[in-house]
Amino acid sequence: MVPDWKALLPHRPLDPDTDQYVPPPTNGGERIAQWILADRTTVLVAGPVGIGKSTELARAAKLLQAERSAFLVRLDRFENMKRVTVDQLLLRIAGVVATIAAEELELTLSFVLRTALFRKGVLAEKPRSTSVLGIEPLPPVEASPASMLGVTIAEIANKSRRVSLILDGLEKLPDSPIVSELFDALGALGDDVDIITVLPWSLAFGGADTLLRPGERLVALSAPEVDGRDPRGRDFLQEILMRRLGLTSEDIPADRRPVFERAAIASGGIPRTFLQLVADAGTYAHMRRNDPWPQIDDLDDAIKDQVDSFRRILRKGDTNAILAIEGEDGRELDLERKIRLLTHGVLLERNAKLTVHPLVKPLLPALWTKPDA
Amino acid sequence: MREATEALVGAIERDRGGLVIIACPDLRLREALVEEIESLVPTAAQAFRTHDVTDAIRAYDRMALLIPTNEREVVLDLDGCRDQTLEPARTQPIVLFLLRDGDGFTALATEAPSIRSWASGNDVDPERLAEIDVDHERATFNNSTGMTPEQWLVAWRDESTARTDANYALAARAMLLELK
Repeated sequence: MVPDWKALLPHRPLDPDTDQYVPPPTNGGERIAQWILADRTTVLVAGPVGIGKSTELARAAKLLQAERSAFLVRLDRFENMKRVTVDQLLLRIAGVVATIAAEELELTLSFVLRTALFRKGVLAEKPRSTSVLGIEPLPPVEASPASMLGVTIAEIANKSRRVSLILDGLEKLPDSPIVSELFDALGALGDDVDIITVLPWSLAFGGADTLLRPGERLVALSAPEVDGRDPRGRDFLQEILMRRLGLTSEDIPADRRPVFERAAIASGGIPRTFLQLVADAGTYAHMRRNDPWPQIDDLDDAIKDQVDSFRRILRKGDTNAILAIEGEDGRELDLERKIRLLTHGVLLERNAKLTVHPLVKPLLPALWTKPDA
Repeated sequence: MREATEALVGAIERDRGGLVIIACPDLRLREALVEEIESLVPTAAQAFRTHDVTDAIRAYDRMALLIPTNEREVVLDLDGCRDQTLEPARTQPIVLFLLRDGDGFTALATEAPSIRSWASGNDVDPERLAEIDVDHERATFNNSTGMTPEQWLVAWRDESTARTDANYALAARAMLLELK
């Protein structure tokens, strides 16, 4: 079997109905679903880039479908999250939910509501009357986006089951008042709807656990350990690789297996980084020798590419700050720097301690001689 | 060793429909690098130049060479619209040209972690990679192919060498090391 490295698509999250899903050791999707089914109404999800937030939300949506009307709304597939307004977001949520309700749950929402959403540009098809007499009340001239979303949820809940909204993409919102305005608007929907949402970076790593209200739960997705005796983190990453390539581990030549083991360790446990390393190494192998499988040299160059990327995001003062808090809990780190370094995965949280990503360590000579704990 | 052209081609090849970032030392070399990419990519990629993120996203089956007039704004728009490149699934990458020390890289580090994550390992600084030890690299070439770059290029230029991706990359490397 010849692997198609382009099939790895490190940037692409999985959809709810995929057969490529591999549960991570931390079981984020299951934890999210369990909390909702245990009558928590709000779950907030946090984690660094590339950890698999979108994939775990899709998994949670799939798990909730048996007991809820679960709607996965990937807002960033419709809106520019850096320029969107709260009203646009609320309308978009309503429009996506109404569309999924019609197409997948075969629920017909009221003509009034569908017409109002269509006029706002968030429903693709112009509604047709379902009245036997062809007479439907005219939609109200103007309703607020928040009330239109509220009505959408209420209509679905009346015709089906309790609604779970699973909102993806909010981490990309700018650090501005829109964040608090949006969360206030979502909170005003009340307890009749479950909200599962990714937190904006500034909240995710800026003390989200202190902002929780009663009934709310924070699920922090963290990278599994990949450099110790416990093989689960490495096995998880390699299983993702096999599923995406459509291969089994027996298809990998024995002399090349150490390449993937080493890529798993170098990735720091971040699935996207692991897939990028392997795709990069596989591409080098193909270009250099027309070889279907990468060698260690190819992986070494893929690692250098990633190290260069990390080098470009380090700012003045980062090196000293990282060295000062490595292995600590990070409370001494100034907030802006902490949010930035944790978001990018330069620093990883493990057991309430901060560790430096393996691909950043080559940039910090002072760490080279530091003995492992 | 990573060779500049190989790294460029590798970045373009790695993710189907992904994002590639080319670091440019200055505006003059940015133009030269855009032209180099245009010469490297196959005609089927239908590469086109644009400075607009919406245009780049809309043309999902063409390679968009995104040359910003305002680097920060373009980076923020790419960050905000990133997942719109997933549906319909892109078949060609977006190649973003940013000045090495410009506002674009600053925005990637401080305001746009999502799009930076997609491009991680795919952000190439070809001018910096081109700063090589020629003698050492010629010896490495000789060891791996059994020929000097000039000998290898004779067979390449009389078209007796197969036109594979691997050989195109090797040809680029040989030309870089060729003694004029």
